[in-house]
Amino acid sequence: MIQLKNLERSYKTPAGQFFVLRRVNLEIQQGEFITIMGPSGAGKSSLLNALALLDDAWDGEYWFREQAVHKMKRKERADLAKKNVGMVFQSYHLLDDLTVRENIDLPLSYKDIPHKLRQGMVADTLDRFQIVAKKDLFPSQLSGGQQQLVGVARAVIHKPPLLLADEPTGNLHSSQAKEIMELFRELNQQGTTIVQVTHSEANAAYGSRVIQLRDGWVVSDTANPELQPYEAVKQ
Amino acid sequence: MTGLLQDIRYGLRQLRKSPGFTAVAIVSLGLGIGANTAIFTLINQLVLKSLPVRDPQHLVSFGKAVDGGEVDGIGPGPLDIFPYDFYKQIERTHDPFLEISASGSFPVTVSVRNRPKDAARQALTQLVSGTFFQVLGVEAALGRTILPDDADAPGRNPVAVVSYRYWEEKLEADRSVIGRVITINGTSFTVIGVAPPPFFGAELNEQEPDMWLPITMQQQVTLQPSLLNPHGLFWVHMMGRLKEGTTPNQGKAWATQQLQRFMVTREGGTISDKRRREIGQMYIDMLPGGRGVSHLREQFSRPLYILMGVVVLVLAIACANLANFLLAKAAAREREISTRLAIGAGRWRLVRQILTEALLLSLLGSVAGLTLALVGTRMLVYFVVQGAKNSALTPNPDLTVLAFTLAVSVATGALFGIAPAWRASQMRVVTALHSARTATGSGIRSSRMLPNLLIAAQVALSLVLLVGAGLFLRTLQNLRNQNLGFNRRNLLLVDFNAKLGGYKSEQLRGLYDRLLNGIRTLPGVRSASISGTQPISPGSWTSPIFVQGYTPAPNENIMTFLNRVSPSYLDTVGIPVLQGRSIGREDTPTSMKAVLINQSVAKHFFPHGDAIGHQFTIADPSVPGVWRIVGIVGDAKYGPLRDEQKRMIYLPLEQLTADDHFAYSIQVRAEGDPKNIESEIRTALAEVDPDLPLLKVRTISQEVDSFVENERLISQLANFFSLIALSLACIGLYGVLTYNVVKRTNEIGIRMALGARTEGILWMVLRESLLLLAAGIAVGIPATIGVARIVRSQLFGLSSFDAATFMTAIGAIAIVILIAAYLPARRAAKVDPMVALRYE
Repeated sequence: MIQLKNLERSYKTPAGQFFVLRRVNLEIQQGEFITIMGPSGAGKSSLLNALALLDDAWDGEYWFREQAVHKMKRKERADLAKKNVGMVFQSYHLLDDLTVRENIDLPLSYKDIPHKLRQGMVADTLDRFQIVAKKDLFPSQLSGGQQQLVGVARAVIHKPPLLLADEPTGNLHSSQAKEIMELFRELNQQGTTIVQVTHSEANAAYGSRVIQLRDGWVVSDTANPELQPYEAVKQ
Repeated sequence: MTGLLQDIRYGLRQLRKSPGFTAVAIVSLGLGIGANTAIFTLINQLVLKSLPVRDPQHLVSFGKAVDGGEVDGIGPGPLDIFPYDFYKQIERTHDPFLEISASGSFPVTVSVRNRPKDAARQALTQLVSGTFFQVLGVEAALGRTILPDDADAPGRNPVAVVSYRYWEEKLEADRSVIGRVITINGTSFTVIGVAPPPFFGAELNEQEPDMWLPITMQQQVTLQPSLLNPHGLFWVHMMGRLKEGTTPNQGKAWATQQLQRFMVTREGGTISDKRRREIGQMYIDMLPGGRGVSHLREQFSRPLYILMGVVVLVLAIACANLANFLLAKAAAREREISTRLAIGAGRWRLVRQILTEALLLSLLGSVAGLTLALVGTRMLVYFVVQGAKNSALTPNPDLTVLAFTLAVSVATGALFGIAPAWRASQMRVVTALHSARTATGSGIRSSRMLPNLLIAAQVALSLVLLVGAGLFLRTLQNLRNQNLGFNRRNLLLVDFNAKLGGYKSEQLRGLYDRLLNGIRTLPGVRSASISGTQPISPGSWTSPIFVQGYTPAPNENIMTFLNRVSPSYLDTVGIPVLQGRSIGREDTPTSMKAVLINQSVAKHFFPHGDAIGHQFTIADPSVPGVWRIVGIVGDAKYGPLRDEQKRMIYLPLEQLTADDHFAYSIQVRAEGDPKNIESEIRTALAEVDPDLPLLKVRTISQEVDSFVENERLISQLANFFSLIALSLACIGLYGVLTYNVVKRTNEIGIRMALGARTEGILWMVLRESLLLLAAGIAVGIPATIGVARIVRSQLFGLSSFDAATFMTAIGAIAIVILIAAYLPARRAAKVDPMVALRYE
């Protein structure tokens, strides 16, 4: 589904070029549930942003279903992301002045989908995530777990093949976290490819593959035991 | 007290922390408060301030006392100008009054020699009764004032009281001046006193008098026949000081009764029933006289109140702006405020803190405002007194003005400080402390409601101001551009006074010929003429005319304006002869008395178009005989530009005698810009007679402009202030939208992460401003219609709902709002979602 070849991301600082991702080579298959782990500053979120096409200032090659994303213009990348990617954030990023229903409808409103059809899709999603009763509430009236549930519902309403989650349970207590992870598993079983960033081993256990990052390098990948330790690569 | 000092210290620190915001706030407030102070200073001087006399509250004016000149034929209704013998009659009894005084209803410009060998110079004098200074309760600073004995018989007591300013400037502040003999229009007068410094008489007009002379010296001062004889003309104003315990109404009843008796006696035993009824309807209003009388007050009160309304709106817009800025600052300080609350600060203390900051700003703004007001008032006073040097109107603020500015400043501070203070007092500690953890908490709609309401209010107020300014501007254009009935191109007007130059009636023919010949031979002069009054100035010469074969209906107004003109007048001024002929050289003192009438006279008296050859007599006894109509000329505008065309007849100057043979105006039609030949004309006239007083030289455009002073004042200032208001609204919207965008960075980032396009974000912000614009316009239109109805009487040639003005104003606001909104919208569209999502 996705192929990254020598993907690099760096920032210019007064001290010189600072790399947050180094020569990342990665292949993600359709239906995988991948967990990206690593200490703070390892480049996890940067990798996720690159995958989500929120960031396009990277170098290297990015192939999405045989399409060369690295050759696309910004607008084409945005269109590709809009159709194929759903995002779940650690701090939910719900819009406080929209109701649950309006928040879930938001991605559809950017896709030129007829209003009636959108209404149906929103109703289905509310039902599927069992939050019909909360549809007219505002995010501030929900618990953290419920807010993240809405965040996930919003991320998947347009049925994206790829779901990216940046520490989705970081602000939740364990029982709420478990609910969200169960939901991810269910979505994955229904065919959604999931890439999550987490510090939690328990959450990682829901996935099928774990990738470790350190200082921007991929240092281990359970799907690729042959991967050279990064120290060696650095040398 | 310590807490308050702490608040002030902290407030000053906050202001120093944001120098840009502080500067914008002080400038906005300075403009608003300064404009209010400037207009109020003038209102205070013209409308509120009392005369510098003893117990001004006990003074009453007999009528408004704003009409001047000499008139006859007074009809029913209120009177404010009286004959001298009426004053003499009631002054003797003066029942409800301690004293009654009289003064000439017009100032008299005289030629003065302060020492026998000094050059003559002009001075402005006021003729006053012997009771004048007593009624006002004014003592001389030096010497004594004019007393009843000084004005007890015509021509007997040539004495003068000079103003303090005149004494300082023209008499070298000489303390031995009392007893000095000065020459006024050829008559010797003795200086008996110097008025106290602040005293300027009982009239607040463009120019304060240089000296006061006994009314009984009228003939020597005005060089005109006596106005003091019984059955004389109406020409004096009167003031009185009521006795303790007497009400103005009692005074009015007594004075009215005296007037009606006087009129019956004056008109003799053959008085008709109709006239008796008319006299029964005459009355004298007893108006407060403590503020003196002033035609400027009559003329400028309404424009000044309109302008006061305008500047109050400007200040309201500035307040809305600052309220918005302070709301934004308070929102940015939510964590600080909640921390203060959490550690035990009372809500009142927080409110006090924010109000202190607001008051500090408004006080700084008022300091800037006072500085601006000093300049602004100077310009306003200059405009109102038409550049006169010696005016009692002063631009300097007094204690009343300073108190007003302080009050405005405090009210302003409270007004724009109250919203942020209220917002802070309503803050919930826990929510605020955790606000950073909610992704989009600071951008929620409810928190934007108040700023948005304030912006919509600013749009509405700006619309009111812009439409008002537009209506006034178009009124001014309509007044200026209307067809005045004569040719306005390249016409120069010169006022002169042969009477002041010592000429006698029989010398005038030669003088007029020499003057016109001197001018006509100048290069660049096409033609020149002489007349009694200038084009567009109606003068004060009116009289009923009795057309032979025409019987006026009962109560029909047969009054007509009269002008005396030289043969080339119509040609020089450019008034077309429609029928018959013009006045020519053939109209001599011995030939048939010929007269021209304008269309309005022709339409009124000769509806069948057969005026030529008809004859009429003029009621004014100074122009006796039968006058034959030899031509009909086009209507030309005389007097206020809003008035209907006046009936005017033109008499040949050559055929008039005695006082009526004096003409006061020269018209010069130039080939090009008449300003270019002004000095040559002055030289040519000086060559004819260097002592001939030239009173005024100006172009016809300047003369026309002098008739639209009010409109010009309102229009120019309303436009100036509406542009300031619009600029303030623009800055306000820009500030609020920019702040909204910053607050919504996170939200915008989320939207972009969820697929929103840049155009969509751009539109989202622009749409918000368009909604504010629409809301403001929706509220503004009815408000504007309401205000336009109030100022309807000030408009000319257009309706108060003039669609073009409304559309232009709305268009201008829309453009400005869109420009103000575009920059923050573009900033929003450039938000980097990655950065925005980290923005917490």
